[in-house]
Amino acid sequence: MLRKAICLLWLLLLSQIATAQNVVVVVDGDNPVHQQFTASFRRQLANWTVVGLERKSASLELLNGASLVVSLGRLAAWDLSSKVLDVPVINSLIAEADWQRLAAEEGERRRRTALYLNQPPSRLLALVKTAMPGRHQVTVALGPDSKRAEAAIEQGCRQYGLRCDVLLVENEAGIELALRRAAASDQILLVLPDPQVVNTTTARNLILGAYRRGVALVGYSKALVKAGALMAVHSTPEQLGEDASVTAREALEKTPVTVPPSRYPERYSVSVNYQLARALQLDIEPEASLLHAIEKAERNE
Amino acid sequence: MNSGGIRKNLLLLTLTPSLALLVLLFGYFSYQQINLLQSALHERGITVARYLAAAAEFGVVTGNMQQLRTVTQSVLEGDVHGLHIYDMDERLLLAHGEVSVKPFSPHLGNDQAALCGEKEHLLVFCTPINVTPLPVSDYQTSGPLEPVRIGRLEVTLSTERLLYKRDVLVGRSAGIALFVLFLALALTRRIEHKITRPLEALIETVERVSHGDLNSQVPEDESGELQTLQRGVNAMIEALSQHHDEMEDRVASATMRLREALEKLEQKNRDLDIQRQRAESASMAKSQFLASMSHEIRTPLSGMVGMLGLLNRETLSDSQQDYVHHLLEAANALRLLIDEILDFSRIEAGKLSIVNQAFSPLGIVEDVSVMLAPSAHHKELELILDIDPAIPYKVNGDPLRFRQVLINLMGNAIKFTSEGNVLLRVRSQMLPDEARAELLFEVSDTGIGIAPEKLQLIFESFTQVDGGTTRRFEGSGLGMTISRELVKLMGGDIGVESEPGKGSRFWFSLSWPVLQLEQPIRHTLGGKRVLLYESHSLSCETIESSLKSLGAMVKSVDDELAVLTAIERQPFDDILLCENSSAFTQQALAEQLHRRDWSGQKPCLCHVTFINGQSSSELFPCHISKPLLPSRLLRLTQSESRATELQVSTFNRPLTILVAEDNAINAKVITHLLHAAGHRVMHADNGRAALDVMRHEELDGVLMDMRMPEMDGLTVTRLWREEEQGSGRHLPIIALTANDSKDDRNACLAVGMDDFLIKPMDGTQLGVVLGRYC
Repeated sequence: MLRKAICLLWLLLLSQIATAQNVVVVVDGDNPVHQQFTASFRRQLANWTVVGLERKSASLELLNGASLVVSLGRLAAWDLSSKVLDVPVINSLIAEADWQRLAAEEGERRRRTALYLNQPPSRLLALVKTAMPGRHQVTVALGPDSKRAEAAIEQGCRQYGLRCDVLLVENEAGIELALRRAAASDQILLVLPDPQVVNTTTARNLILGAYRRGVALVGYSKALVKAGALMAVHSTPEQLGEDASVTAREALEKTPVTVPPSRYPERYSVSVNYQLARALQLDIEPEASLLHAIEKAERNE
Repeated sequence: MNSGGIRKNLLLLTLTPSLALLVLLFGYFSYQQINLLQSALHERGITVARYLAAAAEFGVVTGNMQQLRTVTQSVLEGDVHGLHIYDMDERLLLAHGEVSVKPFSPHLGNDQAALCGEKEHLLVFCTPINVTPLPVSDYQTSGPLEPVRIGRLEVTLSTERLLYKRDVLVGRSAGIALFVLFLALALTRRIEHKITRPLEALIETVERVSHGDLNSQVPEDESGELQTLQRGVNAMIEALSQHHDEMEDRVASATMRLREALEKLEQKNRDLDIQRQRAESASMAKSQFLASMSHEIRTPLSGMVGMLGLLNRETLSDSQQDYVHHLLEAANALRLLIDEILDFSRIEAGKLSIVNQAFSPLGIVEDVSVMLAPSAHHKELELILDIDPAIPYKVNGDPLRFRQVLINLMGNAIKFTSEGNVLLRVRSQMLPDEARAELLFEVSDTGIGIAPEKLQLIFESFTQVDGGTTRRFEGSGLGMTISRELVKLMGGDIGVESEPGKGSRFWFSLSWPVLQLEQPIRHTLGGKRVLLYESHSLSCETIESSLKSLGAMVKSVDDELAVLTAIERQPFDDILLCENSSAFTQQALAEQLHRRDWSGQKPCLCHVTFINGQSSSELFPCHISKPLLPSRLLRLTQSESRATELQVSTFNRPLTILVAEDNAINAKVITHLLHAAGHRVMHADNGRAALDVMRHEELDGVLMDMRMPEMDGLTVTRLWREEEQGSGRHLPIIALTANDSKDDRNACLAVGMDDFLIKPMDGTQLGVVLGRYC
């Protein structure tokens, strides 16, 4: 009896997916970030049929019956990469490094693209420049995953008139070294998403070390700001959902459906720890002003 | 209740709950405070450990020793005794202080701290040092972040401060408790003093009042109930004082009345005393009168009796002898009456006293029995003696009064018995102390008896059972009264049991000191075989008993045939044929026995008769008068003994006796008696003449009248004894007096007289006394 019911549901879902111009979103059902993302995504694509599909239930038949597949998270991206799909795929909520590793393993795939989770390094440097215009040297701690962003960093520094001291961190001593180096310069340390540099274990000492040395730690997430970093540029799930919906619409509007190249988030936010700023005797403008200034700076590129 | 009790109770009531509460509170709060101190120390240890663990995280991670020292330095003060930080490899990163306690490694959570070691005054708290995880990504969804342990930390706390604080706490608590206790004690003492002081004042006042100080007042200086009590006590004292005053007035009034009454009474007493003295004087005068009259009456009466006695010895015609006999009876009755009246008057006057001298109770009994036997036998009465052989031989008592009582009782029995017998039974019992003997004398008769309602009157004065004007029996009625008084004076008891028509039983008991229990020379019948023929059963029993007590072998029979049968069967040394009246009834039997052909030794026939009984000396070689006294039974040892009982004692030579007597008749009678006994008599009719004769004549004895003209007998004797003193000789002087009072007797013996004879005396008495001294 139960089996019959499951079969009926399955056929119903299949009939929906088979209708024209539908989008399948592969999610982890219990992940709140995914839920926020999907909700935002669905709002933006009201004219399309958006079907949420549990990552573990995403069969090839269902995926191939859609016009466009959107995966959320690194795991979903890896799951889909192992499948031979006839439809284009947008991999969202994935770090640039992860996507690079996935792409390196699969090779060039025209029908797949990614919307990065992390911000472009230039945007972070824009934040530095905007928030602390009087400081010109930035110490950047890079790890193995973020090492490839070194060029982008240097370009961003040049763009915003900053001197970047890029330091490769391979262990905890490297973090200490980076802090000392930052303390010895303009007391700004920029960190990018890299488990070797910033993780749950190293975060406390990184933050404490920065604070004790009077170093302004600039990060990439609101969580890091809450933990004690001075400021960060980041995108919320809703903003990422909107970015994904824009990308999906662009793809769906093409015939055949074609996904654009991978890109950074277009929508983002700025978070500042003003309490820490006062402790460090820094006068930081309001977050909205900073956001506006960054957007303005990016438009002027 | 005294104040001490109140004070004690008050202290107990107030201090006990306070003390108990104090101890409980002291214990409870001290315990709580110590627990709090211990908990605080424990929490402090945990807090310090956790704080340091958090603070040391950075230093441990970065190996920043300077930072670690800086962090830990701030807590190294107070009771933090030591601090040790280890990394994950148990390398000691930092050490402050030394501790020998080896801490255990409790399985602690990542952020837990606990006590992990303890020694004496040190506590070691342990906690792990963790790296605090921080979320760094906005898209981290892998659940809560777990801390990572990077080392551990040990904090050692010293409990010395805790102990010091505990000691301080206990000391302060004890101090406070003591202070509170002393405060409570002081308050209690104050309250107690406030209560007990007025109470003590009250008690003191009440005690003063109880000792008669009714002017005492309690100071009313208190308030409340105590003031009410003080006022009440004062009011009570005032009421008591008023009452006391009233009582004193009443007592004074009563005393005055009593004094007046006493004065009246005293006056009456004086009057009574005067009257008593007058009465005593009158009584004395009466006694003296009686004594004088007694003497004056007895003297001529003695003469009359003596002369009648002499006349009776003369050969007279039957009618003359009858006259003399009646005259003698009348004289004797008169003399007896006078004696009784005299004795009674002496008893009434309290002048009759008891003397103690050695005498033989058995001798008195025999004398009285012999004396009264003629009266009994004259009335054809059997006089039976049942005497205990164990009767003491010599006792110390008053023989005259004993004799008098015995005569009274036996005389009464004979007087009031018309037929039958009179039995005198004597029983002796040694008292437990063996120094005294109690003798019971019973006089039983077969007379008229006494009605029960009259028994109580028998010992009253001037009372006879037949008290009417037509009474059959002579006598003053004083005999039993005198006997009762005499027995009382001798310390004995007297009583009577009687039944009308069946006779009476009078008894009296006397207790005397025993001087000699047994007779020095006891005569016996030496195993004589005696055949006793006595038809009176009671008499037979007593005679048989007496014979046996004298050592005889007795066969008693109660008829003639039995006598003949007995002598046929066995030989006898003596045959006693007893008469039960004055008639000679055994003559035929005696003749038969006399004629009998005795094959062996012929027994001695002994005729036992009444005193006035007839007998035959031819038929009976032995004749004994009843009552059969032991001394008379001993005559059976003599071959032939027809006793001459009236014979005066035998003297070896005639004596020369001076009769000093102013009464011519008495002198004549005494002279005749002495002449009859073969003695020579000299006479003096006054004392001076008597003394003169005594000085110039060779005398063997003097019979001295006490009252004589010119010089009384006492003076003569005293002068003679004075003259005689140193001469080496002693002239026996025997007093002659009509008055047998103790005073006279003592007066006679005091001046040196040897004995005492009461007039009128008979020849026997005279012979006995002379035989004793001359």
